[in-house]
Amino acid sequence: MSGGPGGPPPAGGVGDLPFPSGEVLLSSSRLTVRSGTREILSEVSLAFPRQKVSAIIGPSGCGKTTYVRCLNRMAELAGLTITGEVHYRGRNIYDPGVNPVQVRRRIGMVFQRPTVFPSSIYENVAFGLRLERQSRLEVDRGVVRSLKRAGLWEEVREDLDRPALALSGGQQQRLCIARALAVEPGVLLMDEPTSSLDPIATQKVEDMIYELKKEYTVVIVTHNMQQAARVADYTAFLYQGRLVEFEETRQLFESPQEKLTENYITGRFG
Amino acid sequence: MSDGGIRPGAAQDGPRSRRGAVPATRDRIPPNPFSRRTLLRGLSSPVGWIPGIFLVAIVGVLLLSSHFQNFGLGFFGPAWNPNPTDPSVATYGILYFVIGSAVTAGFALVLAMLLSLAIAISLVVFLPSPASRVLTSLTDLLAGIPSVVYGIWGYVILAPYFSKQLDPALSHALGWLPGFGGSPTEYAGGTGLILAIFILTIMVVPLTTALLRESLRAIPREQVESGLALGATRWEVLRRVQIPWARRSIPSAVLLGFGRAVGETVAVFMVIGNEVKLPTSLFSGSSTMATLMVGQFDSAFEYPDLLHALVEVALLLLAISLVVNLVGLRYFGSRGIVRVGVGP
Amino acid sequence: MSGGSVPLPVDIELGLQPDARVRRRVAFDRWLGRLLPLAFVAVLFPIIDLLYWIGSEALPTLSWTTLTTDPVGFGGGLYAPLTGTVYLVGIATAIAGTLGILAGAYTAEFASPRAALIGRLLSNLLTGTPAIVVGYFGYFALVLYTHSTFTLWAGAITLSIFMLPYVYRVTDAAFGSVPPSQREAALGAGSTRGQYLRRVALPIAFPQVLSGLFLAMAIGAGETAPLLFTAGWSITPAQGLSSPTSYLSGFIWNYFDQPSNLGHLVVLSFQAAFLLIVGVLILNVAVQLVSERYRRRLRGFFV
Repeated sequence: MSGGPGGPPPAGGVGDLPFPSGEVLLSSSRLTVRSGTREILSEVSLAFPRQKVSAIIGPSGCGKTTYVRCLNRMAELAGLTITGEVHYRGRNIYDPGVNPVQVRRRIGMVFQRPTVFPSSIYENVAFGLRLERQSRLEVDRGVVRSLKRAGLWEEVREDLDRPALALSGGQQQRLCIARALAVEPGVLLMDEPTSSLDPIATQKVEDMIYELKKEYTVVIVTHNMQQAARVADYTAFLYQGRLVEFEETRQLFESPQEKLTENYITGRFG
Repeated sequence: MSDGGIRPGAAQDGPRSRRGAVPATRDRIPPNPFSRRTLLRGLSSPVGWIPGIFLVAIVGVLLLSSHFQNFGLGFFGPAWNPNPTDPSVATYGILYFVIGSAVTAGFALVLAMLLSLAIAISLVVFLPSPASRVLTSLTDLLAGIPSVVYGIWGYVILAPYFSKQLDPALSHALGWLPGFGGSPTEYAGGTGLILAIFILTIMVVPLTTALLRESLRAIPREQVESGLALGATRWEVLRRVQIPWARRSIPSAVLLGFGRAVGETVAVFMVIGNEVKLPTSLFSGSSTMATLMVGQFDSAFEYPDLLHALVEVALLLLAISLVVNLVGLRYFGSRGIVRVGVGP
Repeated sequence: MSGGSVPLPVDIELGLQPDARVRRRVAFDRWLGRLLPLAFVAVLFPIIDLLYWIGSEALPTLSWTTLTTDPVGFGGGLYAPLTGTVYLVGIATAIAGTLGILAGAYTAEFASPRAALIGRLLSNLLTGTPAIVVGYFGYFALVLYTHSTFTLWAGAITLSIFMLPYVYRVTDAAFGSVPPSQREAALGAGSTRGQYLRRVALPIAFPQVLSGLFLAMAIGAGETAPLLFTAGWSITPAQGLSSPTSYLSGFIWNYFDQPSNLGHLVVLSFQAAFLLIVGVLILNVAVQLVSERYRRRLRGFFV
């Protein structure tokens, strides 16, 4: 374990960053993931600045989903072998003393497809709050606050008791985001959150992400480069389990340093 | 907005089909097997129904063999007095056997459900996957141990142990509870209700475990992952996501387990003591409908009245098992868990 | 935090140090994870005791002659019941296998969804029918109404009714799980559904169907109740298909509580129980191995 809470981010592997190192909230160093003998990720070192949106792009199968799932210890559920470190506020989340439950409370996640629970809209958002055994009033407040942040409040305020599955796909996804926000995480991981949505719903989610970075640190995985260009402040390009380039988004798309990145963003493969 | 927990609507009806590869159109919306339209339409294809035809034959032959003669309300009365020499004074009341069946199957089922809930939850939620795989196979294997083997083990090994150790200890410790106040003469042989309940519990556990386990496993993985990603512990995900989703499988497992327990014959016959009387405590020797059918059959060969009475017991048992299975299968439906002999 | 960073607007502790409430939740979860598996002990301990006991009773005296001689006087072996069980299960498997595979394949491929549902439902109900009730049916249909006596035939047929639904359901599931791409490819290439079933589906589904047969055999071998009033009982080998027969489960049933001067019969019934357990467990393990391999093979189709 390097550095207690509040200590400086670890030096290991996180090389030149496109932002001041004091801004780092979440970082991985030499993160390697294996499934059996197959290496899915090889020594990926990346750092994400607070209150910014960072995108991870790359062709299918490059390991980007696995990568974000490592950032809140979801990957281990699939029986993958994970080596390397992930630091949140200077503390390695893979330390034996760190409990994954606490990690996931701090680092929330939204999945590709909306995964609403088959209960009411209210109950969906209240899920995380009820675990904390908060008072009725607190739960009510938390639900309203989260729905507002996710830009869903105006649409559902009359229907809180209706089944969440009656919502449209885009609304369901925003409900999932509201549900994740309700726990007050510091970081929100989004794994291709708009891949199952139509353009209008996608637009709404993207607008929301833009709002979210006023308070949250967002890491978004996408295979849609336009999306990365639209919402992200920084973008990382992953290829075959390795980090190729991590830059300010505009920099990465306009003058990539690596040939591989250039080929990918100009559509020569992927 | 009451106490939290998730209420699955009709749309997320339990486990998905185990036959994931079937063309989607074929069973995306399974028709209700209980509707009249279904029954009529289905009448046109008999080949797939060969097992069903045997079921109908069983019902038919038993109905044919029963004479429904002396069995009004008295059939459910307490007096079971077959009399070969003077049939006019014979009475056939099966109350004691119904009580025996209800007590053994009922108690065994309560115990089996407790155990198999704990086991199924351990397998699905708590145990690491290699251990879970091995133990899943192991519990499935238990279903294969023949009933007659449980019987001989119960009779030879457990009965003496129960009579010398367990029954006195239970009576001593729990004697104040109704049902445990038996006298030492009652547990002299060790056979009786308690031993039958014990054996039945072990025999039913593999079935109920498999049913509960598979219904917990059938929950979409994303649902479980979403719960965990919100910072819930494994138990909290189980309680708030998985159990509400699989909730309807629990009464079904109870019913299917009851069907299995109430029909179990051979093992129970070997350990229950086969006394025809009202049990005064759980240590009493007793009989069930099924053990009656096997125990008195020999004397019924030359003795039509008794045979008819036994056939009527068989019909009652068949009716109970059909009803129980029909209701229980509404949840597990045609998706029944076929694996390794624990299937409905 | 290193200097100059902007304070976060959300004014709560955001570190990885869990508060007391989270620690309690996690601790509760952990204890539950340790307590619940104890239920395994409650179930497995008696079973281990059973297996250990039957092994220690049967193994020391089990020999080749036990398997090859008939029980006579104060000695002998289990030849008659062993062969009786083999005959009974063999014939029953032939009947249940033929009918079950036919019906299962039909249900999976030809039956309308509704007919298939009914077929499966009735079959499941047959599985739930108590063995003793099936035995009664066998007695009336095959012994009493045919004015016959207890016969090996009657026993085997009754047993096959009991085994049938297992073969049927496994076959149905096996054919149903053949990847649709295979089916479309075969039908698209102009083969009939019958040809598809034989040439394409059967080779893919065969291991699973086989496991269904093993499963049915294991269930048949262990059953007692359907045989008592159909196959009757004889301590010597059956004199043909139309005479009563001896069988392992019946041996246990008949001699488990013999008085001690016939102790050798009790010992033989222990050995019969041992043979039954070994046979049934081998069949069950075969079922699991075949199913597991089948599942892995099927996975290959979807990669």
